[in-house]
Amino acid sequence: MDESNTIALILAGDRSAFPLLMERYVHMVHTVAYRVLRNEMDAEEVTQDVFVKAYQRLGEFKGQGKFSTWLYSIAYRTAITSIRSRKKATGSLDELSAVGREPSAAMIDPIDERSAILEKALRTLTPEDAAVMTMFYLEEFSVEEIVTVTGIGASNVKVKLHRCRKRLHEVLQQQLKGETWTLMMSA
Amino acid sequence: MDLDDERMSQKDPLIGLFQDIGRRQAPSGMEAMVMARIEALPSASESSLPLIGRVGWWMIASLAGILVTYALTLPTNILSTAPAVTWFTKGTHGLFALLASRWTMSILLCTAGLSLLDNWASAKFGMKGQH
Repeated sequence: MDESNTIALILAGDRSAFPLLMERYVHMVHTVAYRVLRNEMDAEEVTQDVFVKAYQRLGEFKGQGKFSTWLYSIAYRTAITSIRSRKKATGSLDELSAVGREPSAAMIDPIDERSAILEKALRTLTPEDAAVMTMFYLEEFSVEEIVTVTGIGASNVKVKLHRCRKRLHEVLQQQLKGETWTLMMSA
Repeated sequence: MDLDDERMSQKDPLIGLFQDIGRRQAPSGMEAMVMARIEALPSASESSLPLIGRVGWWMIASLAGILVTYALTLPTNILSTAPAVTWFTKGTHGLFALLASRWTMSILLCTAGLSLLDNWASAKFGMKGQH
């Protein structure tokens, strides 16, 4: 079923159409929540909150932009708000980032070795920067879309992307033993 | 080369790494948990346009500002029978006296109060008054 038809059905009161939207975007939302929160349980909680908020605010989506960008915006902001409230409870955001720098295998639950290496490399960035990199490289958002989602200025987004890319290159070069990374770069 | 162009031309190996690994899988049962929470909520519905738009609010605020300024220029001596003549009241006394009446001010205050309550309820509970 077409996405706009699904949204129209939900707005007409058909709750049973909502799982169709969830099915399409649940992994996308869970990924950004995990990238920001770095914890499976918190990411699950935030993913649920995001879809509940999306349901409540669905009438505000006017179809002017992409639904994925609108939903991503709710996901990013909910995750950032959640980690900031944790920061107040546990200390600074830097401390939270530092906690994630050496994750245990249980925390990462890697699909494969490369996934684990990427997760580890992303943990060297701030949660916001890790989310921006995910938007750019995984979801293939344009700089303008990242600006819409995060509310950060375009020049700041570009600076973040340059800085984080450099950082990830350095970390991955060490992690992937140089040669593998060089091969990937020349591919 | 622009960042977007560089990514699209696949020269940046990070795109390959991110794409190969893909998204994290959300745990199964997530949809059921969300639906259980949604069942307790009122139905999603088209959000109606606000009764008073942004421009309307600016106009009301400007009018209220003018009225408050006018009220401040009125004589404070209750025994005074003639209104104070100032640069502001000259020639506008009749109109502003009417607009600055208790009734007009009360209507403005009630409208502002009810609209604020409506916005607060909408943000807090996802409820929207029927306009």
